[in-house]
Formats: sequence, structure tokens, C-alpha cells
Amino acid sequence: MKNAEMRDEILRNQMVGLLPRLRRFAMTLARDPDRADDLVQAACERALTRLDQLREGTRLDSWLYRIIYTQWIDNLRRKKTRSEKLVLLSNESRSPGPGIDSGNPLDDTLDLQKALSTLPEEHRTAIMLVSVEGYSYAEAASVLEVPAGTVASRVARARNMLGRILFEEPEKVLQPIKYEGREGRK
Amino acid sequence: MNQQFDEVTLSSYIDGELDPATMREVEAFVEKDPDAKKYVLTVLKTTARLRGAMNEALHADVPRHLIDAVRSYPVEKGKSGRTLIRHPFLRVAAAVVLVLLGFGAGTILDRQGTNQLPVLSAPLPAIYSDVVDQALEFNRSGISKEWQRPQDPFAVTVTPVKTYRDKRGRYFREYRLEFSDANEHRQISGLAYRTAGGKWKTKAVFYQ
Repeated sequence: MKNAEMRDEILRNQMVGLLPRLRRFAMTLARDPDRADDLVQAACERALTRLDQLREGTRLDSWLYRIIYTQWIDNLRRKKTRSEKLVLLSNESRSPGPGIDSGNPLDDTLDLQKALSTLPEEHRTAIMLVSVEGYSYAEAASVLEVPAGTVASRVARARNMLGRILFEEPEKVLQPIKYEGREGRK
Repeated sequence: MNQQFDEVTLSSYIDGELDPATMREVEAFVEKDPDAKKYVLTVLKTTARLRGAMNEALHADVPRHLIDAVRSYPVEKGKSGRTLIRHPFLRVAAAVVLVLLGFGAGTILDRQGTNQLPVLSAPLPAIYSDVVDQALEFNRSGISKEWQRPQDPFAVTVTPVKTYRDKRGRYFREYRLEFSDANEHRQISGLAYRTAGGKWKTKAVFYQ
């Protein structure tokens, strides 16, 4: 096997190993398992066609997170334009999502996931990268392509919101999650 | 909450993002100030719960198709790629009557009356440019995407067929554009390249 092929193979293996984390990150953005998997697959495919852009010393996970995030933002922009014009025929079944009933007792996981889902996207991704992935502010800033100071303020704001939701007024904030229709690949 | 340090600073302290001198100052302050201490403890508790909840996702089974996609999707290199590339126009010209069209105008089809299928002669409405763009950007070859505008009786299906790269490294994709309603089905093929901005521009269309 040639060196380049061997390197590609190693990267593929590393990407497979990262899939659980990539899915978790994508889920933070998409908030729907199918859409998250679509996002991860598209990002991995894009990464595989751009392996020559992966610089020495760049963390593979950070690079993939950045691709996922960029794709997500691009998707949102396109969707905003397209949604005014088109009705997608395929995948019309709409995922209802977990539909958590705020009147029922919630376990910790659902509570947290739901609380997280109520945060604005930029706060959600910042706290996910810093508090869950353990990224430094500089590393998170590189993924999100914002200054480190912005990450710091988003994380602090996210913590405030989460603390309020979880410990002060959960009944006011933990309303059922609303999901939008899928636009996944046919 | 406190007079001396704002929540961003306290949050940064928790994450170890302050310089050593400020870390010591904040630490001393947190020891003395009950509100600050409560804030820090709440954040630590929240973070621990958040990590626990989110780590559950790591134990879920990864769908087979994702693993297969990573293991088998072709790797293409920017300059010294080993992907087999032949100039797309040569391939297309051999099979079809090629109709070269100017770019900015967009150019594949037009509609004759509101309830008629489009015919292949006039400018492509911008709306279908978006449809083609979406399919070419996000669908693998052979995977179709189907749309319908609420006011149209026909559906539009776009299927990327093949992908190429030219010597300049530009990506080209052949695609099939189909219109169908209950009575009629029409099909054309197109060839588009990907611009630096990530948009797909149709370079040529042809009849099959």
C-alpha cells in the first residue's frame, strides 16, 4: 500500500472512531437524530474529498466539527431561501421528536437535553464544545470561527440559562421541543 | 451577582481560561463571596450533569451506513489526486447533442402556460436553479431529490449521475432533471460545475 493510501486509510479509521462524537455534536445542532446523521455523513464525505486541506498539526476532530458546523450554517441559509419556494416531496413524514411532556417527571438526561435544546444555537454549540468536549476557548473559537472572547461570553450566557432552566424555573422553560420537517437526503 | 468579577470572568475561571494572577484573585474572591461561590458551584453541578447526559450519546450504536460511508467514500485529492478524471465535455459530447449555453442567464427550460410541463428552450427559472444546486451539492450520484412547488401540478426530480474533475480542479457533475405529473414524464440532462462559492452552475444541457 502506498504512503498516501495508508494515510487515507488511517484517517478513515480515525474518522470512524470519531463518529459517536461527531453524531453527538451534530445532534446538538440538528436536534433530530436523522438530520444529525445526514449532517455527519455529508461532512465526512466532504472531508474525504478535502483531505489535502487537513494540515499537519490540525486536530482531526476539530476539523470535522468545523466542517459539520459550516455545513449546518450553510444548510440553514439555503433552507431559509428554499422554504419560501418549495415543498419537498420526499421524506415528508415529519419527525415528531421526543415530545417531552413537561407535566411528567423527567429524568436527568432528558432534562438536560431538553434544557440544552432551548438555548440559542450559538450558545448551545459553545457550551457543548467547552463543557462537554473539553475544548479550550481558543479551540472552540477555531471551530466556530469566532473570537475566543465571544466563546467566553457565549459559554457564560449558556451556563446562566441552563442554571436558570434546571434549578430555578424548569416548568416555565421546559416546553415540548418543536421539530421542523426533515429535508434529509432521499 | 458580585461587585468585583462578572459572570464571564467567573465562567472563564471555572474553565481555567484566566491568567495565573487573575485565577488567584478570582479564587480568593469566590472563597469570600457567597453569591460567587453559589454561582461557581451551580455551574460545576450543571456541567457535571450536562456531561453525564451528553455522554450517553456516545454509547449509542453508530448506523452502519455512516461507517460504510466513511470507509468507502472516494478520496479525491486537490492537485495530485488519483481520481480518474476525463474531461467532462468529451464524455457528454459523445452521447448527446450538446447545447452550450451562457451562464448568467441560466438556461434550460421554460413553461408554456401555468399547467403545462416545462419545455426545453428558454431560461431556467431561478427556482429550479436552486433545486439543481441542492441536489448537486448534497446528493451522491444516483440519489434523487424530488420537489414540488405548491402551485405546480408537476414534480421535479434531480438526480446527479456522475462526478468529474477537470485539470483545473473544478468539479463537474452530470445530472438528470425530470418533470412528471399524472400524465406525462419528461427528462433532460445537464452538466454543471461547482463555483468557488459553492454554487453549481449549469454549463450545458442536452437531449437524450
